[in-house]
Amino acid sequence: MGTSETIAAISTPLGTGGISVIRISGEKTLDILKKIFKGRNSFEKASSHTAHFGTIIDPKSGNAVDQGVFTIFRGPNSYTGEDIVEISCHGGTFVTKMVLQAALHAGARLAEPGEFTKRAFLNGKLDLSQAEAVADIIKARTEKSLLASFRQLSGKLLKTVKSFQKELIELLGLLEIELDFSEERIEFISQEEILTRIDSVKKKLEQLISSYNKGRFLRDGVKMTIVGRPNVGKSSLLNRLVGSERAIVDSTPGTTRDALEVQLDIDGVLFRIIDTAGLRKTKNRIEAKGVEIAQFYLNEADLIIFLFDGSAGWTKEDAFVWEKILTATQKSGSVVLVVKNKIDLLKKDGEANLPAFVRELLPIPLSAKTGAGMDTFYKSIQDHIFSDDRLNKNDVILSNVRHVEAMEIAVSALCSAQKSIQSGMSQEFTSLDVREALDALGEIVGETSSEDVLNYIFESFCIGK
Amino acid sequence: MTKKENDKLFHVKQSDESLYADYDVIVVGAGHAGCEAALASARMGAKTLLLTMNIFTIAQMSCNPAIGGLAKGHLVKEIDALGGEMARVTDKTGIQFRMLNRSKGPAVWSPRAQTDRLEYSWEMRLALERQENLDIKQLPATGLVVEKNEIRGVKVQTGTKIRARSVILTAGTFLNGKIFIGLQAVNAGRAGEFPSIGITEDLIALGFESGRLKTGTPPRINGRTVDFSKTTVQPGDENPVPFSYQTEELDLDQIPCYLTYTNPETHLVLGSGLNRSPLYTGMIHGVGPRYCPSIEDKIVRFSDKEHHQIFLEPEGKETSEMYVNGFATSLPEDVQIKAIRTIPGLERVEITRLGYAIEYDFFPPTQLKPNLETKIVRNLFFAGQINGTSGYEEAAAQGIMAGINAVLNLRREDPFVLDRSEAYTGVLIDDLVTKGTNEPYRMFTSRAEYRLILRQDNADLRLMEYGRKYGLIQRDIYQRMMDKKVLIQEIMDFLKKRKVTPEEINPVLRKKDSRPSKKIDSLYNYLKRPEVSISDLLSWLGNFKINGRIGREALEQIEIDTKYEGYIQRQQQQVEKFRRMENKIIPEEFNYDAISSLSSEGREKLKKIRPRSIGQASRISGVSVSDVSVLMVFLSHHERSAASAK
Repeated sequence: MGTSETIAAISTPLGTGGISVIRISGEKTLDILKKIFKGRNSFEKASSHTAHFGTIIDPKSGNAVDQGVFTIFRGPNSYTGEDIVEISCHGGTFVTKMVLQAALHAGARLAEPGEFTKRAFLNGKLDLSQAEAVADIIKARTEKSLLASFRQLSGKLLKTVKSFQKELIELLGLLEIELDFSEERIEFISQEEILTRIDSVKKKLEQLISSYNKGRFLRDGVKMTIVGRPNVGKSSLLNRLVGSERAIVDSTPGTTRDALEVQLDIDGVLFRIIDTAGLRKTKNRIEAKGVEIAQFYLNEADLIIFLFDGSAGWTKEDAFVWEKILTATQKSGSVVLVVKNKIDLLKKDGEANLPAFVRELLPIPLSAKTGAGMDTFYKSIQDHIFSDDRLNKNDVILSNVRHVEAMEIAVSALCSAQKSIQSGMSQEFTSLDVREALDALGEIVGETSSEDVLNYIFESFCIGK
Repeated sequence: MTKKENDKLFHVKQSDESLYADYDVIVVGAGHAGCEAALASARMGAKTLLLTMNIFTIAQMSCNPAIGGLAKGHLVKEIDALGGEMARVTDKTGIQFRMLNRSKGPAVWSPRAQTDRLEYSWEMRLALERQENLDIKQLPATGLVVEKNEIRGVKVQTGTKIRARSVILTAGTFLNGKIFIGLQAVNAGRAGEFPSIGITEDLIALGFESGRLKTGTPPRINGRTVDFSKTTVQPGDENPVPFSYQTEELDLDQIPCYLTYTNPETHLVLGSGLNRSPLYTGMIHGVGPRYCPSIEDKIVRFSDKEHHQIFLEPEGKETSEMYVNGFATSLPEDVQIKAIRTIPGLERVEITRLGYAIEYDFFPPTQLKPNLETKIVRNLFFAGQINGTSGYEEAAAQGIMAGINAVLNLRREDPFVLDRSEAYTGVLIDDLVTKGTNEPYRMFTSRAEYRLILRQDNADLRLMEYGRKYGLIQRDIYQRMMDKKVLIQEIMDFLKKRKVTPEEINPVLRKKDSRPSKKIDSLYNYLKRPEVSISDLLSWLGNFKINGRIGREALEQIEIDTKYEGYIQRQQQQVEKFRRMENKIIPEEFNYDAISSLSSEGREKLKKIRPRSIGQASRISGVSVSDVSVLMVFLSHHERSAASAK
């Protein structure tokens, strides 16, 4: 929580607006800028409160992320009283997150909730009489964010990270025991064994990091399948999406033989939308083939949009489709968004025959025909894509930038642990790296102390003269 | 401060009615903590009295006859750099010296010495006797004189009150001490010595919270009844290294230790006595140290282990008595004798003193401020086992810190607090006052987050400045450290500046099987190679005074700083981050009740511990991240309103 660490955060709401602003504040702001900014003008001598156009580079990959405007505020004449840069980049969730990621890779730390305000206060930029108010806000925000971050950790992820922590504590114990108890008659762990153990944790961490959907979605786009029984308005919805001002339709839409695929950029996220044939029980061979294909795309989808006709109520055919969806999600862990279409035709009593479980899923009411309810629909898509709770239902998947950042630090610490062993350094150096990895994981699930390591040693070894 | 000013501050007067002088500082207990506390206080100019129950057991080594060891050796070097006595006495009375962990990196090397138990005690007594401003008296203390939560003096067994402005309690295992051998229990502070009764009761009446701890010691044996041919000899180092910066060279014939092992038969005999063990029959309530289990504990907890190491350590140069390290026990007499005789080499051994367990009072150290003063009674300090620690070195480190701080308090000067990045001593005291302890606390290198820079080899560079500042380090010793510092800098600069051609350096590299060079490069960069050591580069260092102890130590520092530069830099960065929080000082009178946004558990803990800094606050269990944030906001508010008030 050092006040002179440099912090970064997205300061505009995610997913809305044409531009997003990423704010960086702290001692090293200009150093960070040096690593991520490529432009015609050098900003180093630039005076305060000036704006500069340039390319944003991720120092880790060396790739350009976006172009944007960099506005420099030199401390103490800035909001926080420290050097601040505000990067205005293209709006859209992924671009914005990538720019933030670039700043983090360049040495910034993700700001805690309310931290800019806190710094502003600490640096005397706010009214003294606001002390109590600021404190309350900080308290509420940190507690909420801690709670949120714990809630975001699905049971499985929490367990997984804790198991890594446990493995590392044991490893540290095995390293430390040789330092603090070298006079004891204990069989110490071999270097190969240490390397294997480090490698095992590292690989598991890397796997988790790669599960971070940002990467996957960015590379491949979000695979979204629209399903429902025939005539519930699937094509109307697709047309509505394609025709929307928010969407940019790819110039060469790929059309599969059996289903229509449209690539759309909605609010900065690439969607590959597949419009399947209507799903229903059939004896017709050709139609059966279509159903089979639809099932295939269901299985493949990241996001399933399940449409039913709100004006017609719930039918047996809807139930049949729902079953197919359940089969698919059990395999793929994909997310389902339930949409109640044709609300423009809705009669008051249409609600009545909906099964309880459908009502509990809070179907999004919309009319593909009139466009009513589309805003809610867009927002729900975003929420579903970025909500950990849903994505983590079946598989351990990372989606929180903070978690990914912590795990990346842990991985790089473990890499240097391996290097220190391979170059023949003694255990205290390896231990420095392993401790760093543990500290990083500690930021996700809670700290470990030296006492935990000693406890492991005393429990597992006969120590003492 | 001039002597005159000092005298003025310490209003020492001899009252005619009184049998004893009024003292600035009274130290109760002359163990390892007490001796360092008394010496530090007297050396700083305070009129000091050291009270002991028995003048013949000053600085007694109640357990093993050795000083130092892993992490503990660091403490001894730190005590020495601050101007303490332990290292010097060890050098003088040591009979075997070893540098442990030599196969590891320099940060975890640690010196250890076997010492002559009697000589150690005698040598320390002489140091105390020679010390100006210091009186020693054999008078058991039986209570404290406290007025309005401020210490006024000590009650002694004769009924007399001796007045003092500050008191340091270093009672060791004596407070209501009780020793156990089998089912027999005797009230004693150590085998054959009286316990101390009265002080605990006074403290509890004042509102202190107390607890019980347990520790144990092995039997001592007659060395003439040992068959050493069945044991392995453990000699000392070929070139023994002294502990103290004041010792130029060690000159001694080292005496070896011997190694043997227990076996399944030993364990069988020990097991047969468990039904008469005070530990397993529930007679002992105190918590024992997990890192120093008794032999019966080892065979119960690790029953699959067929052998345990036993070190036979000489008790002294002349005596034939030996200490059986690894065989601490409180089993009954018959079991001890039968079990020990199953060990190879000890078949016919005669026990001179039986092993025993001891239970004693301690006061959870979260009741102390970081300067070791109690929060309840002003100018009352605790050091050593009374704070729940174990070990001579841990005790002595607290002793010197308490001694210094007692005097600083009287002078109304800022307390002397070492932080976790400065010294093992800092780690020790911070752990005690911030987290407390549930078992006898021992130092480990793994407790020190910044151990790569807290090395035994640089204790002087880290701490001697303080020792000098408080007047505990003589000018010549200090000057030597400064000379070393300059020499290190000069040689470092030279190594970085001096470029050598491949023709110059390649013969050296070839000799070391290091890849030959093809370009001109600095000596510093060659020294970075793992195969090359500073001794290979001596031919370039002819202009520097590198002979003698200072030169040797300077080269050692240069080599470590160069070879581990990357790691040391990383650790330095961690330290900087740590210090920023440590430097945010919380005023002592800070009112936690006035901040409604603190969590209720956080507020309770903060009120109890009263951390000195934001950094310390963040280490208290129960104080959450948001509590710390809230605290920071209010602290800066507090500071600014204080500044504007001025």
